[in-house]
Amino acid sequence: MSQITEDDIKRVIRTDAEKAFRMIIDAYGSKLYWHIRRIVIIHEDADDALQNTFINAWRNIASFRFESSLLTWLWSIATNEALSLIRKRERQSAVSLDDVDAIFAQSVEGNSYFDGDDASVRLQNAILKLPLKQRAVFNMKYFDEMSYEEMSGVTGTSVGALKASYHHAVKKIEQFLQND
Amino acid sequence: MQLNDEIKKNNPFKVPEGYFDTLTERTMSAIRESGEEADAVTEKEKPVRRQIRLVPFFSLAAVIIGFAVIATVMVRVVTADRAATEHEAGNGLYAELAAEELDTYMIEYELMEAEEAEITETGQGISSEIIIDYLMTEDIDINDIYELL
Repeated sequence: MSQITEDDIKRVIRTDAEKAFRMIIDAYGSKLYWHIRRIVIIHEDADDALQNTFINAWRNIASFRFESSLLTWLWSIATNEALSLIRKRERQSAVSLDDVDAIFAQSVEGNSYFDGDDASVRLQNAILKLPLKQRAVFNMKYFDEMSYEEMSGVTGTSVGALKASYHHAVKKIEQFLQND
Repeated sequence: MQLNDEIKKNNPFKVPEGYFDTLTERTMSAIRESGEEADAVTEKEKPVRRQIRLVPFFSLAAVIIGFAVIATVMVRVVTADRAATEHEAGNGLYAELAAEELDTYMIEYELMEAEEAEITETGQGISSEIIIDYLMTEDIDINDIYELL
């Protein structure tokens, strides 16, 4: 199957919203899932946040004028959903959730869908020490390899501030990994 | 341990088998269950009719705004005349009010100066890094943080 482009979706959405939306999920579903998953850690939470992202996008698709990138718009909704979920989780938890074991202990699924070696567990724990928004900034740059301009579109933050934030995050993570 | 491509390639997160194969169907079902209507504007339903219906409301609104502008201008002309007369008669009263306001301003200014001095005293030794960390923990916008520091 050939890759679906934003132009294809733009053409179809004028005549068949549901078909266009299926194309959107096919094209961006897995990318958005991994972005959310790296922030929320637990698969079940990532699935909930992803469903909410698409429900939100479906509700507001008319307000999206295709003047900016569809991926950036979806990424922005997904980031907000993931961060809201984390804030809610942290409010409800009596213990600090700044390492993967603490998060698994709080969830029903535990670590069933996590199979990391020592290095990746340490990296995840270092990322969890970052403030919430900086965590999203780090993930977008390091794992999703987004450009600062794309990240600026997602977060509404200036390119300069994002560069500083990412640089600061890398320094903190490397320091944590050395000391851990 | 350093951040490098090797550590990045190793994805420790797994998904249930077939998760992505059924994602589209499950998501469309969730959308239907949520009862949300697609707000998409298709070519079949361009908002021409809405524009026609809105025309009388826009005309009515324009007339009301016109009246409001005329009424405001008239009221301003009348009150300006009256204020000029009162100003001449009540110079003493205004002078008294101005003096009171000045006193209040001076007290507030002294209090602010005292607070600033206290903050500077206690704030010595706090690095901007700690301040950035704290503000980010509080979810203050990154833009604001880097522009302020």
